[in-house]
Amino acid sequence: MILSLSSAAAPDLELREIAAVCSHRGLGGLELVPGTAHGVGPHWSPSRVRSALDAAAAEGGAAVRIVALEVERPAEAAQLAPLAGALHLALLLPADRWEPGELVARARAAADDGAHVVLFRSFSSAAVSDTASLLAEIGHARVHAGWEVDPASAPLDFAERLLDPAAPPPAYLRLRGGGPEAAAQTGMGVGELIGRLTLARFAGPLVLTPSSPTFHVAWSAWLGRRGGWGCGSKADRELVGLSPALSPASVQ
Amino acid sequence: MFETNEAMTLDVRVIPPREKHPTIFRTFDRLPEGGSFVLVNDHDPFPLRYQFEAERPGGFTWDYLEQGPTVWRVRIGRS
Repeated sequence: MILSLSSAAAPDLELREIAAVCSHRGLGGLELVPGTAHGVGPHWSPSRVRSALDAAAAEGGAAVRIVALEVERPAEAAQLAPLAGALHLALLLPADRWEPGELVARARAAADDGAHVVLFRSFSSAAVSDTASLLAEIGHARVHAGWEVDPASAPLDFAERLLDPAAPPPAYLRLRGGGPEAAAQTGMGVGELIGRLTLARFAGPLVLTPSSPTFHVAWSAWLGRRGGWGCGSKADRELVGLSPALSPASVQ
Repeated sequence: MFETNEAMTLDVRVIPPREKHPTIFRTFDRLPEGGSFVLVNDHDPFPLRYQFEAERPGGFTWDYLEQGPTVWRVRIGRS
């Protein structure tokens, strides 16, 4: 399991900066999503990405890898596939937003171009069977299933359903509401999920992402970022102060 | 796509605090005899070791693989 961070948790940081934050926090992977300031796109060469990650590792003390690039528009899949293939990262295709025919064609083409592709969507029982059908139709060894899980709204037995032997094995997981928000959660199945992933020898990324922009300040503090909170953040700090998760040493 | 883990890894940094120790013990109890997992945490989990000594006396092994300053890794085995 590669515990990772989504760039949504620090949407204003460039690649080197957010990778350094991950390194400081002991997180091994970084997911890059659209609409954040990481800047990585088709115009980036693999060596430019590696250079930024090397600089971040030198600053933070531990290596960080990019585990995935999320694709927003269908045409971008082909543009990003060579970079994804060269860096051995996953290309996340939004399976619940693209038309199925387009999804199948884009996934197959990107995989043929050397990328590992993840058909990515919110987890539900209906989505499992739909994804299984799509994977069977695509029939490519480099195309996988990936899920976003929100423990606050998922069924209590979501861990069992997600790792059901009859379901496509998950290659990639994004967990909403982890990190500093975890302290506020009360037995919503995250522990059961992690335990089952361990016993299943899950080797993919488990990506932490905020459940809402409301928690931006909490995430900033959890990631050890300093200053720049601006006007109106006093109330947020007080909210954050209720959470014992801010200090890793205080969490048992 | 991602390398297969030879060792089972239980990263508890993502687990809500009140679920951590129950998850660790539940996972431990599901191990076969002689099996092990690597516990990953963001602080030294030595209080957990005391709990193991109290609740699984003589039935576990404990080996530090990494001791901070950011990440602690401990191989916990079922003996």
